[in-house]
Amino acid sequence: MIWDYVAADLDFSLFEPNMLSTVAEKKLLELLLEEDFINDPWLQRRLGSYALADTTERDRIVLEIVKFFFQGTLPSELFAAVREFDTVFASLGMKGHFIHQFEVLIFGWALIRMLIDQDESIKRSFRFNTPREIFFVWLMASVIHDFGYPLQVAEDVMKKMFAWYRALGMSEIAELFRALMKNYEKSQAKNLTELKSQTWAGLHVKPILLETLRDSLKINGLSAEKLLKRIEAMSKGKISEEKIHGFAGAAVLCGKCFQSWRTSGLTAKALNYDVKTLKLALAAICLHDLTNDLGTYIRRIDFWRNPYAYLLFLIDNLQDWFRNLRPNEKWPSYNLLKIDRTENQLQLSYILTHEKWTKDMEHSAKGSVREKFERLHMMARPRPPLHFRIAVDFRTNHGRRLGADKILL
Amino acid sequence: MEDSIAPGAIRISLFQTVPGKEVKVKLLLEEACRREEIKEYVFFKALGTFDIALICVTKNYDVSIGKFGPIPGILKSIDLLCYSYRINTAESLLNSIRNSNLIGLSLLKVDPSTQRAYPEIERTLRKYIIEQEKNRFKKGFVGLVGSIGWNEIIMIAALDNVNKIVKELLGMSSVFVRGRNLPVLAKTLSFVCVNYRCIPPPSVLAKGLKHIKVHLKKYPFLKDFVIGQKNVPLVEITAKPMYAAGIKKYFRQEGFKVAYDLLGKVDLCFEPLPDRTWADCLAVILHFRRKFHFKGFSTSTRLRLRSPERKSIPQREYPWSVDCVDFSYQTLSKKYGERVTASLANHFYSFNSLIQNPIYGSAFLDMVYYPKHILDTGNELDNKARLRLAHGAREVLRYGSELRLCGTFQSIEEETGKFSEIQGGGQRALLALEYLPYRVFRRLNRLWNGFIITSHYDKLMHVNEVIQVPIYTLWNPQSWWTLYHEIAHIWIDVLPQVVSREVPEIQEFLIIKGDHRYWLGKLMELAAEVVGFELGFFGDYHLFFKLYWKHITGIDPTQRAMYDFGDYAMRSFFTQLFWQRFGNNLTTVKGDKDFMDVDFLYSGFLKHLEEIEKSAGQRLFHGEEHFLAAEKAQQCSELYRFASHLNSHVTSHNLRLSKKHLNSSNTKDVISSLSSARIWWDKISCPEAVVYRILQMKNVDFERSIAAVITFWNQQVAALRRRFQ
Repeated sequence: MIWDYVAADLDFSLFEPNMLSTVAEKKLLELLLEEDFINDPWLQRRLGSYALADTTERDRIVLEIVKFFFQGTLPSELFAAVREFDTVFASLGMKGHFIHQFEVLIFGWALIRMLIDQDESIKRSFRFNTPREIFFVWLMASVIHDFGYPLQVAEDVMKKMFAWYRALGMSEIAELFRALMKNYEKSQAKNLTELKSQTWAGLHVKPILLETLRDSLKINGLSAEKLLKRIEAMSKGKISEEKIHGFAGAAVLCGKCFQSWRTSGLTAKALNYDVKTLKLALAAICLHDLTNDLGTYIRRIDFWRNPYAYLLFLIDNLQDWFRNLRPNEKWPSYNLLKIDRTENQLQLSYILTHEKWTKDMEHSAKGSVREKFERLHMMARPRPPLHFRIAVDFRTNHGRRLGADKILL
Repeated sequence: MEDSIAPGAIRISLFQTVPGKEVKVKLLLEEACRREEIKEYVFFKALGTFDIALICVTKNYDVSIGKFGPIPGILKSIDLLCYSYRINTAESLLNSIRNSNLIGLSLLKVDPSTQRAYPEIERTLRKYIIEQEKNRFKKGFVGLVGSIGWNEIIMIAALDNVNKIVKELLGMSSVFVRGRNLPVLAKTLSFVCVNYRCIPPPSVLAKGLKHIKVHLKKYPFLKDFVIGQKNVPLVEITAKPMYAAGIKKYFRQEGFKVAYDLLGKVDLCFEPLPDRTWADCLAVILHFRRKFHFKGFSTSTRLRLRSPERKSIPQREYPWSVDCVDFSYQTLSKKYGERVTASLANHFYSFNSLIQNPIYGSAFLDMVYYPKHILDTGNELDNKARLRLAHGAREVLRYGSELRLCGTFQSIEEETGKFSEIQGGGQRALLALEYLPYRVFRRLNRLWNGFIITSHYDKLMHVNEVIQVPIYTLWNPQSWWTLYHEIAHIWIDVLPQVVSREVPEIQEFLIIKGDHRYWLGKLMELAAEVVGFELGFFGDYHLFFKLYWKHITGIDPTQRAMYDFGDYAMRSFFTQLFWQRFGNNLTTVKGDKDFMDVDFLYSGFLKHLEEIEKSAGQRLFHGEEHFLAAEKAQQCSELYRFASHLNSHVTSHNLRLSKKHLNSSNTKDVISSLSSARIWWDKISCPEAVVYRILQMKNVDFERSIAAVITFWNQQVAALRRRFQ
């Protein structure tokens, strides 16, 4: 099993993010830049630069932007670390998350802006009065939603390190990594326990998570507990194939907020607003990666109860369709080529590119697109409906249609 | 008064039609005039090569017969762009000729050799014509208009007497400068026209010759004038040989004698019998054109006058000659290769034949240095650049020559220059425009080897040393500032130490950029914008900004697709930055640090975009502002070293003119003269200051524009005179 990694002949650049065409990127950022609260020229310049920057610059720009947004709320080292982790994902042949999370932020905000402009009752569902406040919850949910990934891939990283050192004949160090792998499961469980047991001013991570899941999914405490247990149980299985990064990410965010509030010396009452923000974001992060076998819960993600959770699940899946870093003999590369928006519709056109399309590749790409559609349709349409439609279509760079779908909100 | 330009542009449009179609063409032209809201116009039936003459008065030259749309039946048209002097205002002139049944038009070209010796000859000639009119004519009048084409003056004689008109027109050609014994005119081209109100309407024309004669005999000036011995019209006909016998028979029957069968382009010529009246003669011509419209190709009526032999007065010409383009075919072939040389040499031969023409050779004087420049350049260039030079040179030489040939009598009478937009020629305006680059280069201690050509695009450009301008620039001095940018390009092209890959500051910039050719092109444009600003704006950035964006946003909407407004915003912003940092204004950009501070530049660029949209009164960037500002601010910050390097050249070459020129007595006098639409004949000490002051003038209407054109034309004529001495 370990040897598979050595055989892998990966061809990638370290920070290759998911790319949107510049035009599409500009369309998304335009909406954000029009906001009154984005009035600092320093910030505007970085947002403006992002659309035009090449892949080698984007992570630096995103880091500056998120540090700006979270100054005084979360430590800047947190974001720097997540950005660095993208090199690790790249070494595993996977796309990084740092840029992807930012893309979810701007994509999602474009959608939120369109929705809140459409109807006052929709705006109220976001639980805050001003676009600035709504934005901050969405910022927290979107930019942090994959912070749990490092935990999910820890075992893969160790395997990789072992394989590298072994290939170089540095067996002593390789063995160290093998030894780490032996204790991995135990360490991961310990880590999770550690994360969820953080406290501040009488607030505990786990109860907060349970509360927010209960509220968002409209389930009772028992069911919430059951869901959390199901998620935790996944960590005991084969880690790399299961999804626990939502739960882990939520725990990281919660813990870091506690840490920050502790430092600021403010009381929970004084931070009432921040706690409300945190709770909405936590639920969104925790639920965004529920696996299909937890479909019962996915179907319960209700826009009207927690629009952030609903939209994070939706946007995360729309923004990111394949995790492969580079096109290979099985997978093409994909780009969001075009975004057209009308009053109540968003039309997304994706293009999948490959130098040499084969029938098998096209077949599997179609399958993957279909799977994604199925996953998106697992969430129930908001009731009452928002009267908004997201249309997506996929084509190859040769113009062949791979599939199209409509998501009715 | 005699040097003051009057309001109103005068157009004399001449049309040659398919025989028999002139009445229909005239009706369609009239309809087009009404459609284009031309209110002041009059039609004449022309005798000569052309069949219809339309004389109209419009606000300026922007109204053109080119906008009339296709009119079936027109074989050829010439549009002479004219203006009037206050002594014969456009309106009074049109009223006078409108009331005349018969007019004679004479296109007068002042002898260039006399002009060299006696620069004010054109002014003297005008005085002479005016005095003649005052003293000699009790009935009718002789008026004059100026032209911006090859010939300087067009004389209009409205005398209701064919003999007198012909005598007057022919008499002009022998005028000379008394005392100096210099010939005044190099050439005249004259023809007589009959007011269209005297021409029978289509219904009468259709009834036949008898009815046409009855109609024409209503007019004493036609009925009472019997064709005599001295003054005999000659009807020339070009026709297919198969119809020759029928045509001869027709004319014989109608009282003409067959004069000759001719060799050459014209096939037959007829002369009326002596006892015939002008009414008879004109009736036959009109009827013939209608009857034989499929059979004849063209008719031309020439008026002849047997003048008494006078004692010849010896006149002398100031000798001047221009050397032909001299080159060795073999040497040229080594430089450009066989195929390119064959074509380039052919262009040089053609140019030589034009420049040697004794009548209109002077029209190409301003181009003479260019072929020599092309022959002297090229060795230092690589193959690709050398070929580009040859291709460009070939095109501009051809186009420039054709442009200058338009409106010469050669092109008026023949088929040359059919595809040109200014078929009546704009030589005087072209020369006027050349004065600015000539003087700027002289200030920079360089000889300018180029010339001006026009284009149908709004875009200005240069092809090596030749500058291409949109046509309207010719008669609009408030757009002459646009030349500075092209002048700057030419200056930069000849000084590789300003912008080239070898400049260390540019190397430093390029090393961080990908596409070096693209970025080098961008740097060239930025440098040209800054240099252009420094050359002619006396540090007045606000005026530059206002004009720059008025120009860019005034571009024809269909051509806008070729323009990236963001790119132009970068250019004006960079110029502003340069001016703030290195010019006299140090209030905003305090130092080098500011120039490199991306956040500072970003805010500045956003403000710049806002100012552009405010000045344009429209949205131009459509939500792209933040992206543009982010991108361009980053680029600007990387350009500090380049800007600093550019400033060293701006300073060392003294590109920046002192503001004292703006208030010099000469500039004030010139501007005072132009403000009252009066031509300034004396020297101009700083043309850049004059152009700057023109830009500041609020009301530069047609008459002031033309006064500036003729003033600058005169300066350039003098400059050429000095150059060829």
